Amino acid sequence: MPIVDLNTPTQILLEWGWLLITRANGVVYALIVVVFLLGALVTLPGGKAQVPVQAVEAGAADAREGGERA
Amino acid sequence: MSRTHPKPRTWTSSDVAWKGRRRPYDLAREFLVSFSIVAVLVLGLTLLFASPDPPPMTFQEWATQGTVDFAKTTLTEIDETSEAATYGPPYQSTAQNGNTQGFGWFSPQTWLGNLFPPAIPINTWKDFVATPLLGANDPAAASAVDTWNKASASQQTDWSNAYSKALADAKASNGHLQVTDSPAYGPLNTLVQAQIRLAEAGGLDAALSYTNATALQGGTVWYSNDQTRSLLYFGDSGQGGDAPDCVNPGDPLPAGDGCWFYNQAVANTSPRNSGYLAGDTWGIMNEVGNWPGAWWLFPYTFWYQWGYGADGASADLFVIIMTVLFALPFIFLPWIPGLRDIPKATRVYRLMWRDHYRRP
Amino acid sequence: MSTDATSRSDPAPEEHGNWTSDIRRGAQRDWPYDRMMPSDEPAYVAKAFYMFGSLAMMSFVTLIATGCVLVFKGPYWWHTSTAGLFWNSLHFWAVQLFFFCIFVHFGSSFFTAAWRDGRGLTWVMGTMTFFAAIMTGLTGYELQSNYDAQWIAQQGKDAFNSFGLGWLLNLMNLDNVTGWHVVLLPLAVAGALALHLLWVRRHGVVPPFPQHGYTLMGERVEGRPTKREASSSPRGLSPEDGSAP
Repeated sequence: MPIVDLNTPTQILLEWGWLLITRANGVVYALIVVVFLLGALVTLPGGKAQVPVQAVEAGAADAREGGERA
Repeated sequence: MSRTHPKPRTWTSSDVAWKGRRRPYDLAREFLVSFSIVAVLVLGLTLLFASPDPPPMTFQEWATQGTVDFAKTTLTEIDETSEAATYGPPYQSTAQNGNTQGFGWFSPQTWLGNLFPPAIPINTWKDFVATPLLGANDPAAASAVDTWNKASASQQTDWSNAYSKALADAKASNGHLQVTDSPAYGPLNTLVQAQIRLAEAGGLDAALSYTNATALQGGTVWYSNDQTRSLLYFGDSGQGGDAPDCVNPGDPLPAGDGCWFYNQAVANTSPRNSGYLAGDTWGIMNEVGNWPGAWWLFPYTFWYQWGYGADGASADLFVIIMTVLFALPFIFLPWIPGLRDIPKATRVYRLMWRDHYRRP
Repeated sequence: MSTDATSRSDPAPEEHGNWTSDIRRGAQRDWPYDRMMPSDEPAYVAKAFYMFGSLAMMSFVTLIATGCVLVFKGPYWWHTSTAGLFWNSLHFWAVQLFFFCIFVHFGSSFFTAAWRDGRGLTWVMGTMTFFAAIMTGLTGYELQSNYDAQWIAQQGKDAFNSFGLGWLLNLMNLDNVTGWHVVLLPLAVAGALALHLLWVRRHGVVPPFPQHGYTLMGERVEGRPTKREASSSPRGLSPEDGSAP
């Protein structure tokens, strides 16, 4: 079934003293850092739009009323 | 405000209190988008890589391909010198070799082990060898079981020492252990050879997976998905990884046998491609082949790699204590001055809220 | 202006001391629908990192769904069936994605000091979800019923036994482990996650560290933000702190 067969001898990315990181785990760690940075840089769609002020005031009044519109 | 009304809180949600700009946000749509992203990623990874499935070890395999190691381990189960036989709580009431883990007075294994004595009772002679052999329809083996049971402790020790010497240099060929009977061994050679035959026929795998206990209302329990006995027996192979013929991590499997269960975990060859599953190579974090493992466990397995955790007598207890100790500042981070000020000090937030700071 | 969104009226005389009305009033105050299901957010909620919490949650949903399929067919199905291997692989990669998203989510929550202004418990609930998830993953590895499972069980037992807890969770006993992995631990994860989410909705998404000329709530003022507003303490702010809620 798989397109890539990962059932091959484990590759080591880094081995230094007692520190040992397999290639697969190392890729995941690197991806976490990369994706975190991307998450900080990439803007969500609609992120630059603005809600009209009337909607904001209505929302705040709504909340004061405890969720019940007058 | 009525006196009976609860005192109003002084804070409110920033979603309501925020005075600055707002943006439209469709929560339902976000959930759908999130789920779609996850589904696509998981499906893609599945079609690309599937998942690992290293074949389980069996007694049949062990007795056939690692005959001498199997024989040596079986001897330690018979004379109850193995790790499983002398472990202590929860398998025995007290550790026969005094190796309960603890630091001075601090020993939860002793306290809780004696509180529920013993919670998972294991007698390696009876549970691993005698009972399976008695169920094997092997009269010679049954007689040998009887002989061992009736012998005195010192007689058993003499037989055991003699047989142990014989096994030290023993050879095997095609699953046949080449040790001939001798009165010096008592019933031991019969027992071990019978166990080998039972294992090679597949009968030992079945016998050790069956709950042999007697129910309160009579009859046997029968149902079982409990592999405790089998796994403890496997674990004693090659003295649990300490025997001299255990390979180093990543090395190919040796031609002979010895240290079978452990070697399977460190031999980076087919069919299992393990390589780095042993505790001193960050084992629990690793996976067979080139799949990612449980990489999130590094704060726990880190402590096994160096210092006391690498070779101390109470290494496991030490590692648990260190993991919990270091988890506490993680859990209570918001209340720890210094730690909680790192985000402000490192100013990574200036990158994360860059757009907001430009146009508040 | 009222200091918080209290219920719309004081309790009627017959409701004094009524637990149900007190609970309802508290729930209406903390979790009104427009805050449980917001259709707008402060403009600072604009970057992609804000999605990783919900990505982690969706991974959890995937785990439940694929887990149910594996329950229907039993833990050994996947060894002998290609469809089984498919569903097991979905479950396997959903675990990886779950922890991946949690780590990115943890990174962004940490670097934005998301525990500020009364959100300390939100953080704690998040850590509890994480620990429950770790245990769920550990027991799940054993249900793989292959060499990995055998090895992890035989090795991992020492950690539990060293703390005298081998009788509570015997890793080598799949009768024991299955119940933990399918029932107890997912419930623990779901429970901690539910509390975490309720707390996120209760306090809202944490505002950025205030810059010169603005309060924590984004209002234009003269001069620098107050020390309290700029601090990383989890204590909730109040009007006395200079914040204008």
